[in-house]
Amino acid sequence: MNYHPEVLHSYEHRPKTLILKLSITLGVILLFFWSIPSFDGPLISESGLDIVTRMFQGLINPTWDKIFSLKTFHVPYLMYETVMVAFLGTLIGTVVATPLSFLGSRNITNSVIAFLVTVLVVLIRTMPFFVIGLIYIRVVGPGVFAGVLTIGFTSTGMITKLYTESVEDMDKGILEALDSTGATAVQKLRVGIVPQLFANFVSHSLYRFDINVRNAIILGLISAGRLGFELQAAIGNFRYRDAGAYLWGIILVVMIIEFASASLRKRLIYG
Amino acid sequence: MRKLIALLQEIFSPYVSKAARTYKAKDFEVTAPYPITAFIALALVTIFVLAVEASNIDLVQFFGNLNNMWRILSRLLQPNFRFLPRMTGPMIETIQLSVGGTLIGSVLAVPVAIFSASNIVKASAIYGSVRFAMSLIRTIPVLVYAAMLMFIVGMGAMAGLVALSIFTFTIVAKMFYEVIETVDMAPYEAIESTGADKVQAFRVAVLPQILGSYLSIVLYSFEINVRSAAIIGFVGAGGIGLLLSDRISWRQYEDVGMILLVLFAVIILIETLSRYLRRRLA
Repeated sequence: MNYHPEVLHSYEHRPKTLILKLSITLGVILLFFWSIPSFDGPLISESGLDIVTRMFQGLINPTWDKIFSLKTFHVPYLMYETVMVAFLGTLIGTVVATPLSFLGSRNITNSVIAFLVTVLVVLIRTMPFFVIGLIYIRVVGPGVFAGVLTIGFTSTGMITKLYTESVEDMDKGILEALDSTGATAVQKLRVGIVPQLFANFVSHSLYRFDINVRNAIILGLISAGRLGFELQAAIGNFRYRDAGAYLWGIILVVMIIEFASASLRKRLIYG
Repeated sequence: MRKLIALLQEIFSPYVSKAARTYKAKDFEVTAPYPITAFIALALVTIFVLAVEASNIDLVQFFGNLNNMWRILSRLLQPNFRFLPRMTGPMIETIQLSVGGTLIGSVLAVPVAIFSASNIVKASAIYGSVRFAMSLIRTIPVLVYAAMLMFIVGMGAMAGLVALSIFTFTIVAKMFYEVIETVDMAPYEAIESTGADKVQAFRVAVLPQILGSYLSIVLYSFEINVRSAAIIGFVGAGGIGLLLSDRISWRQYEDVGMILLVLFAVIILIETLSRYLRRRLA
């Protein structure tokens, strides 16, 4: 078979990366063995395997009357409560983040203030939210209210960051045009700033709302919420069918909110 | 009073009569759609009231104990540097957990991602059901997995590793199949037409297109995993979280402040490194 000489030449002089590939592979394998925690005995004990099968049975045949009853502390109520906690938390985050994001935008304030806000945002974002949760539990006692405060606090960081990006992308030409017509500050806000930012802001808040629903569930694990708490308690007390019901509650509420948030955001951005 | 009634009439007339929304000019008329802003505002207020009712808000207690919170915060801001030696072990374990979870999960995700890509697997029944199953698994938060695994594999780092692996598995599979679906399939078909089998064609024609994005996705999930690994210990699954929750329950907030300081530095370091690598990959 005859190859074109140029093709042959470039094939024979192709980059030799064997050593590089080998060393990367070796490095990843070493990293893997370094990272695996030492443990003795089998990964899953016999009782652990038993729990897994029982949990699957619980998922397939959960306590149906907990799923379909509207009584307080049954699954639909817990789902509703989770969404409400996430809603209030997101609202707090949004209300606090709106002024912060204007302060943090380099095109509105001077760079010192903007830098301080950025540092604050990074600090809030790296604080593990269980730490905040436990601190709020110390302040207001365990319960849903501590969850609301925690979610409000932790959302502020991300919402401020996203809002700041929107504000920095804002078209300031419109404001200058309004200036030339003699518009007042309130009028400028009403017709120059709000229409530009409103859809973006709502979309960012909806995105965070989706995350907050998951966080509201997780906060139950440190007793600052109820859905996660009930799930943990059910497994701990060997009530696997109840655990199945709560797991379905979690799956449903996360899916519904994810879908609602995503489709609303799509409508907001694309009209 | 007359003024108030007139105002209410003006506000509500667009909802009541079509005439109030119709603007007539000499030879055309326009009917505005129902103003929905008021409905949305009403709905939001209703949800707000319901939410306040559902979440047992106790502002008296909150403001009464606020000085408590300031005390905790001010103690957090005075980190206890003598605590540093005691936290290096758990801190390293946290990084180990996130590395291990990322590696295991992202390797397991590859076949699943290929099976949920509609351009590789043509049968919609297969990729549809794989995607649905994955989205069910993905809804459960990583900490809930960790809390459940406590009962299954017992307390300790192993539960954390498995939980982080599951999380990485789901998120990498989703992001990776979306990348696979954007590849240019023409080279793949060209190679197949030379007589290569599907695996060979995939290796030569598709893999070079997606390898960079795959590594970028893996690094991204590693960034998330570091944050999760830091709190996974709160439910007993190893890492620095175990120590954090212990120090908080003993009210040693200076120690907590020290842990947070180191955690902050580690997270920033890892994020910077990962973002640098991802920029190089792109």
